[in-house]
Amino acid sequence: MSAAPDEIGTDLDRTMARLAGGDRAAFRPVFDAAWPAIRRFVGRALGDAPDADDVAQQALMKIFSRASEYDPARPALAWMIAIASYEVRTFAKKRARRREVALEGGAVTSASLPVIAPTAESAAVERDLEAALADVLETMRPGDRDTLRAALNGGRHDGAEASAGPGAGATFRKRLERALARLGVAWRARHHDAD
Amino acid sequence: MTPTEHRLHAIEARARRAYELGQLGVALRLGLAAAAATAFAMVGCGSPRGTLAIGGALFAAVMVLGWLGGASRRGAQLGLVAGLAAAALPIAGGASGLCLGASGQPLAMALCVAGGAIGGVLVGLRAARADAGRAVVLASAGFVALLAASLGCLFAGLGGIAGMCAAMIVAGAPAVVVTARKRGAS
Repeated sequence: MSAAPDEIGTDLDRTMARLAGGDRAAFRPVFDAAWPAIRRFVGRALGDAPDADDVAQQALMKIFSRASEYDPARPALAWMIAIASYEVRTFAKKRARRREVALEGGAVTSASLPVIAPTAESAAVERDLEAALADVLETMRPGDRDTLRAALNGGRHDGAEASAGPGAGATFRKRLERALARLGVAWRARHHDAD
Repeated sequence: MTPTEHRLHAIEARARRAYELGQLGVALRLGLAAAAATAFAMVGCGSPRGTLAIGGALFAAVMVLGWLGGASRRGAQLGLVAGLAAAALPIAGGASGLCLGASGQPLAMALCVAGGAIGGVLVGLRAARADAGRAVVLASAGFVALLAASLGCLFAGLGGIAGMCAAMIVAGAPAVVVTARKRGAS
């Protein structure tokens, strides 16, 4: 006969309180109860992403390293889930930031974008936009033009940038950020003022 | 061992290491408090070598008791607070120069005894209120309190330390008995 969830909770509360109090014999029962619960929670929260296992392990390490902070008046599972939720949120933020950086750094190539079959209309719009962009690019400084072209072609990894050594990526990102800001200003000046 | 079991074993080993490191971190906080108290005691007019020896013993004691956790850690925390409260009087007396010279010796002795009594009452009252492992809390608190209070009484010589120890035990024992009886009656 399997134990009711309440009993599991009470057992875990008791063993976690013992572990928090320094009783090393309580480690194994806590680990056996905590790992599957944390793994399941993180898996659900991240939609079983490939990194879910790493995040669950990180959460587990936090739980055990902070065991002495556990308050026996609180349910142990809720305390563990709170720590795991924090890890999940941190991971989600980092992932979002990585995506932003990849977009800013021009690491997104046409190959990684979804393929949409062009219609005659969309092709015409694309041509117009390209012409308008080329127009604006002509008004910009050559340095900015090169940076934007390199980003559009994913050219950050070749040529002088690649051989510039560590820190070149960060420098390129800063240059690209500045060039994009100036492109925005130039675009508005050229096309919005013309409206 | 299957790959899944092997992986689970590795995760468990990492979790165990994380737990021990966490325990060590808590112990280190106590150790830092002991080190700070030792540095403060060096300012007083005691012998630096003796202060360092007692400070080293205090650091080691709180690190071990803090790492063990549970009643031992609670005792170490209590002992550190009570011991430093006991040491405050003689350290203040020593730093102010009141206890220097042969004429200051009786005053130094009196401050050590008074400090010991304060520490003893604090340890007795708090340790007897412990819910679990009362004997362990009392033993570790008493040991740490004696070491911490000795930091303050070193300048009064062995007599000062002995007086402080005696006062701590004499004042602490009734406090333990009275508090334990009160708890037993309620």
